[in-house]
Amino acid sequence: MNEEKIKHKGPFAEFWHRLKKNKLSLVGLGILVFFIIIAIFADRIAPYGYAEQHLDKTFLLPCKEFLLGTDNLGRDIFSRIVYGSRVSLKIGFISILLAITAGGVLGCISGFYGGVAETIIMRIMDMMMAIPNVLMAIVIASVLGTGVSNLIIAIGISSIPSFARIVRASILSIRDLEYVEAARLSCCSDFRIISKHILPNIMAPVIVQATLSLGLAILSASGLSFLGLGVQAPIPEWGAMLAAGRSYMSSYWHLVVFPGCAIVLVVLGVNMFGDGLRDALDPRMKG
Amino acid sequence: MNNSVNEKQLIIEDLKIDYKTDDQTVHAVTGLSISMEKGECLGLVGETGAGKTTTALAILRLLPKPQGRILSGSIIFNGIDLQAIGDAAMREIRGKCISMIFQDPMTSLNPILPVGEQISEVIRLHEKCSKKKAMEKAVQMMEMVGIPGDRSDEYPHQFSGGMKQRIVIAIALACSPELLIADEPTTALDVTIQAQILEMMRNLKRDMGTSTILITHDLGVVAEMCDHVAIVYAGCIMEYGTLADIYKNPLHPYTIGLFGSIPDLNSDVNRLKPIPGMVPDPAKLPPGCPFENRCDRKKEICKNVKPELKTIDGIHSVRCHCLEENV
Amino acid sequence: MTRYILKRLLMLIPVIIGVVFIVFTIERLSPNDPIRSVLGDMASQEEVDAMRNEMGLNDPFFVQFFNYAKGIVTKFDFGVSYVDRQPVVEMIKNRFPITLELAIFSTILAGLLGIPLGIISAVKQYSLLDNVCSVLALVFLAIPEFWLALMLIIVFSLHLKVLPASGWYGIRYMILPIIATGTGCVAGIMRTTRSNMLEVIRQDYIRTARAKGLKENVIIYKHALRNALIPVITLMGLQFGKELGGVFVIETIFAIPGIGKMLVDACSIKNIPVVQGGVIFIAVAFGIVNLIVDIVYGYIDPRIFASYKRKAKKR
Repeated sequence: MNEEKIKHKGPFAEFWHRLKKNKLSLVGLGILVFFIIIAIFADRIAPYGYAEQHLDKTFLLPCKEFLLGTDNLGRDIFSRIVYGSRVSLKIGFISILLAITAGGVLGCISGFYGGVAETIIMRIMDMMMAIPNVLMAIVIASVLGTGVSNLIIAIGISSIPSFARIVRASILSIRDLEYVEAARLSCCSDFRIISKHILPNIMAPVIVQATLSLGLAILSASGLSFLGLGVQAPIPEWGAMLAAGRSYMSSYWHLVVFPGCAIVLVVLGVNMFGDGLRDALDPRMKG
Repeated sequence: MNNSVNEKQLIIEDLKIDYKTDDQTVHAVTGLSISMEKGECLGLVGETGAGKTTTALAILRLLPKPQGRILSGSIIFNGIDLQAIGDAAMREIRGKCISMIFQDPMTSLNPILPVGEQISEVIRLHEKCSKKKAMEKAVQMMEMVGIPGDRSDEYPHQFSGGMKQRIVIAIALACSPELLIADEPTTALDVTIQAQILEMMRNLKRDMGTSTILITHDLGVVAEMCDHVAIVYAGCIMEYGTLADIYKNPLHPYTIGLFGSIPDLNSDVNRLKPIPGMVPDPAKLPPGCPFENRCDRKKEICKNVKPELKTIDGIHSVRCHCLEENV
Repeated sequence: MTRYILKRLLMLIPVIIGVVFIVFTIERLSPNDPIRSVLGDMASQEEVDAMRNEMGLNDPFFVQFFNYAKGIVTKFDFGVSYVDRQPVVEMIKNRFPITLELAIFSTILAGLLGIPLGIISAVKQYSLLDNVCSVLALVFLAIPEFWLALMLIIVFSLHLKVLPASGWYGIRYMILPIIATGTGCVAGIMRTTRSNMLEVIRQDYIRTARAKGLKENVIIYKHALRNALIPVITLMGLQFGKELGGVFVIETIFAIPGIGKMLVDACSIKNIPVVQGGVIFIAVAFGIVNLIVDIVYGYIDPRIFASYKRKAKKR
């Protein structure tokens, strides 16, 4: 009897295998990792400090001394972009983490317990979603003031509704499955049920949403900084650099081209990786 | 099988079909041959994955592209080689000469078009008549399958499962096709509705003289409807014959196993009698007889050499090495 | 059908009230004195106090809210600007049509480009065109609108000198802003159209249509597209709404006198009544756009419509 061994890959190995096959997503991951490394080792990579001025060498085009040229205060654009990755990634990751935590808790409560709590929470989420993202961030920024922390709070808060909805939807789809019923009857406290049974199942859509929101968060951060409502000088945020360079762009295009390219690259990397993640986690969703 | 080629309506000769995916190649049909005469009802019986639906889709050239590929074999309908004709000619045949009913009525109808429109569409296409005439005929078809004609502007979701399947049948028969392929037409329906639909199909067959290929895994349905039966396993025919041949004198171990696994109402049983073992993985088919790993009378040759389909008596034929001695 | 519309309108009202309340509350949470910020550091304390009284800022919170709400409901009075005492309603009335034009044209452009590209990508899946479009879409989704605007200005206004970089006085002035706003949406619409089409093409009823012998064109346009477009219409409505809320940067860059610019200017100097009025107005507009999208959705997808008809019959 020829018994063929059935090769059984665990779920994680399956996922990794699918992810590896998608070349675009690997490129995206590579870009993301690249920027993370730059952000962490900014001090070693950047040849100059981000606030270091060379008033005799302003508006220089890219050259050997200053890889991407200098701005209106003679600061090295390359160094500022490198340090800027730290700023953008920090804002992006922290605000999304905030949103996941708060949105996750809210989604869990409304999905698991339902009833009045669910109605109230979801109505509030509706109201928050009725105000477009950027607008919400602007309003919060106008109250709290500018600066990195306030920017993180603003973007974090405006991202909460999407996560709350996704978590709630996922919970609703498995709450009534039989094994959850069984767990409820047989043993566990609610907390245990949630953490052990439900959380693993909602990871996938949450992670997908996280990458989507991360890209949006970085775009929002640069947009708000551009408007002057976010990061303040001299902190090198890419959007703020664009705003500063705008006044001079008729003569010195390099002030606005390079920081913009950086934004595009990071968000592109995040999006490509996010797409790949989504396809790998649920091949049925593949377009 | 002794008649001349010209009298047969459908001849499929040694059909081989593969599905190619990123990870593997699935051998769905592995040398299937059948033939049918006009007005006949042929039952294709087999488990899920045996290749029955694939064969049906291949006849109409509806295999999913790019995964499905016909490797070899021919499909001749009324003397026309269905694989050789152009796309336009094939489209002429679909819906007009050969029609197909699919398994799940819940998803077979377009949710945003009224049902009357979905029936009249095929009439307008093949009979080239005016919209008004086509709709009149569509209403007639609806009445014929037992649905009030004044519901023709309602949407599919407003009908029950059984009624949806009737509409699907109405669409399939609207242009009076010569051959109807019915892929598990009643599997998704309740038993009582099943009986109604089968009765309706029997009457239509009698009134319109349509040949039918009935694909199913339900031996009871076959007994009610079919003249000839072909038992399909792992992509090829294991046994073929008239209804009486198969039901009164099953010869292939798989066929015997199928009948044996049906519980007998009259006797007291403690356990059901399934056929031991599992269907072979269609991506990794063995070189010999595909049923070898579950067979209780196998010989050495069964592992290495795939048996041919041999005629035993009349049109009753079996694909088994162990049979010439027993007959 | 009217029942459906009424029900949605009813659901909109508490949301609007909630938005007004949230915005009102947030603005008053500010630790800094807005009047001080508007009048500047040179103004005396008496001037600040006088204006605070005039604007009712010394009243208790709920009195303020009540007066404000009353003003809106009875007289459409959103208060007056701290800066020049111009009624906020007037400001909005002058600027909203401009923003509306920008948003509408951008969305139309995005749809005209995005939907056909999405259909072609889906029908010719895995082809070169499909792959190129998908990658381009990803790239465009990553481009910030304001950066695209700056690049467009550099190329077309500064170097080629063919299009103006600011103002809103005619069609020539509209071209660059519309391109800048619409391009991001094209990517989103293309991707959604593509994935919806792909999903629809896989459905059983498409196979039924093929088995009828219909031509591929007919199958795509009559059977597949209508089903696939339903969510796309919704998406376009949402995009339009999003653009209404997201035109700030574009209006700022191109110096377009719309609501976005008004809001941004007001925010930075803490001109609260203008901020409130602007935000509320945009939120309401957003809500109404969503409502219209839902109604259109109900018209296109007979299933939704019919479920309301049936409920009506039961009574």
